[in-house]
Amino acid sequence: MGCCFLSFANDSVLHVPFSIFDFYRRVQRYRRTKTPFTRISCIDYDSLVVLAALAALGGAMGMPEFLGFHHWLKGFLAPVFVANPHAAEHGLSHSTEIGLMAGAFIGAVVSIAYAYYKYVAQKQLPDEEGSVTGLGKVIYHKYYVDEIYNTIVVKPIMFLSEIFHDVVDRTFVDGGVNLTGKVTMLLGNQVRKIQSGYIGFYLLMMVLSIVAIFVFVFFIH
Amino acid sequence: MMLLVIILFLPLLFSLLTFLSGNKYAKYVALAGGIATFIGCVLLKPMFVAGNLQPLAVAYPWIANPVINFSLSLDGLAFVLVALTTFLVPLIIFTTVGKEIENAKSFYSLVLLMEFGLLGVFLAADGFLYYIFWELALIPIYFIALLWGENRDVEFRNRAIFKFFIYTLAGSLLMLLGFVYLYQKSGSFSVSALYGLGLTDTEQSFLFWAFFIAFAIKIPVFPFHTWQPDTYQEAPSAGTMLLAGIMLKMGLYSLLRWLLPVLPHGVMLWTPLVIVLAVIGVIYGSVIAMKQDNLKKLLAYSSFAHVGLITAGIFTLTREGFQGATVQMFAHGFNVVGLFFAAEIILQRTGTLCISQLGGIRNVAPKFATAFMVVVLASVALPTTNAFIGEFLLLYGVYEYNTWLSVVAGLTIILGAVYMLRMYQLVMLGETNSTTEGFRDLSRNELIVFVLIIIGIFQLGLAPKMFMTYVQPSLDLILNYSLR
Repeated sequence: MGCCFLSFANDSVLHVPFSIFDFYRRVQRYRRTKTPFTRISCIDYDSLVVLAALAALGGAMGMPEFLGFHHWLKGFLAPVFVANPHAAEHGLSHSTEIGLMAGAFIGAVVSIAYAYYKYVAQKQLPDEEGSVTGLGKVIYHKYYVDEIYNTIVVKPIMFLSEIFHDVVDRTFVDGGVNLTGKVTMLLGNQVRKIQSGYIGFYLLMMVLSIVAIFVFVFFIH
Repeated sequence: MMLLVIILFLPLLFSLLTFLSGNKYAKYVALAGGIATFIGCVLLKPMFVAGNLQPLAVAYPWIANPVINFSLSLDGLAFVLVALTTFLVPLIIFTTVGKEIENAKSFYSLVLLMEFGLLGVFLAADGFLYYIFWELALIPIYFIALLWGENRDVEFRNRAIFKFFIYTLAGSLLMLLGFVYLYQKSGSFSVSALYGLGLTDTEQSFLFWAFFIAFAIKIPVFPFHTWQPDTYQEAPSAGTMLLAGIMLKMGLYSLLRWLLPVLPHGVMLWTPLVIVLAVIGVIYGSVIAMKQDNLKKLLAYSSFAHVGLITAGIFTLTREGFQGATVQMFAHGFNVVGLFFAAEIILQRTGTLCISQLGGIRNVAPKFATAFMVVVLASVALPTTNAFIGEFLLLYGVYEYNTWLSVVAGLTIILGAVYMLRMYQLVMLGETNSTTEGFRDLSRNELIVFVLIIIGIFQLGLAPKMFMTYVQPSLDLILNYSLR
């Protein structure tokens, strides 16, 4: 869980400064040349601001315990574990807490400094898509997360969904259920032919049945 | 306790009154009946002391030979399900108030007859009585789905609903055989006599399947689920809400009341298989839901996935699994009624449930968009909503049983978020098209329904303590019997 948080935090802290400074440069270019934005729109920028505010709020809810702060959400599920008080007490040690914070903090500072140096101090204008290379290209494509996700998660699941629905569910599982009904109908259709209305056949069946009963009672039973 | 008997029979009485009141007033009489029953349930609350192990009970001799008593009992577990039923039935009736329903007197009287059956299932403390109510609840929904279904393809509807009826009935007959066997052994159908019955492991093993198949079809558990998507799609929305919101809880409740404590060794023997089937259902249902273009069918598969997790939680035989199952039964009732109500509104306004034909509704109906969003987020178990408490505890229970299984079952939260948010995106966001441009926002009555559901969502999500104190003693008792 810690790793997930760290990777998520790193993704945000490394990406956001680049996006913000990139945006800053684009605004400058737009004012100068009236060239439309190509990479980041105002809606994206608004979303970043909202995310940043929410991230700050989320962070404020769980201020570091080793500094003496109280975790707002700590007692959230307390009623649920009312009869089992030890169940929810699996906290992280302070060293892990400090380590995670330091990792995220250093990552953020380095990326802010680099982005500031590149876009603000050196006044570099971000290049258009084709000419961006190296690390810049990876960041430009948001670490290719969307592409990787699409290839290894979305496409296989959609394929699986089709197979599950059309083949497994409709053909095998539901087919099995329908088969039970069909077999019953088929047997019914065959058996009902015995009820032909011929008295001779009924008499024959009666005699055979009587013989069978006699055999059972006197020889088997 | 006379009040128990009154609460049980009020829906039956009002069902009759509704039928006699004629088509014009039927909906109002039915609504009054539903509300009166709910008030009765509220009156029960103070009499039902939280934390009390002794259930409220009433018993009258009925048939001397075989010994069958008209015996009802209400413990914390039954109380929350009675509360859910008595709250949701008037709410479901209220969702139809603005709609013209053909032969309304029959429709509403069947809805109340179904409530009678459902309450009987949750209250019965005698196996035979329970079985009668179990079957009784099936009959009204069969007619509701068959006669008031909205799909124009009548032949397909007839086939789907007939399959549902035969399928569930066939399962129930196995349960009847199980009860007959148990009666032969114990000389009583009483739940307390059955809890103390000493059966061999072989007997329990066979009886387990007799009962489990009946419940598994009703819940439904993989692979007994194929009646569900078609039935949900074909039934009118009120019928779908009754089926998904309350009726499938009959199966889950019955696992806790009539299977686990009665046949503990049979359960122990088959638990690994059942949990795996339940978790398969979780993933299988979620994956299929991803590609559904019919909104009701998507919700059907999503519901199938959710109840799979509840079943898995119950079979973990842990305190958290039981707690989570109970919370989630209650939460799912609210959320699924909200979702199907949203589907009904979309169908009424646009004439279609095809997700690919919709879009941009948010632009023209902001109130509906907000209410629908809250219900969608609750159904994907967002923290602070009711389903979060339920799913968290269920996954915790599954984790205690087996770590790897909990990892697989945990995918339900991710997959659930994917298909529900994708559905919301396609239906509500984007540009308005010719199908959705005239979409009218929520009426006052519709808003009331959503507000009540949303209050329920946050009430349980933010303060689950009261709920827990009600159900915990009965769950502990059931757990003790199940682990003996």
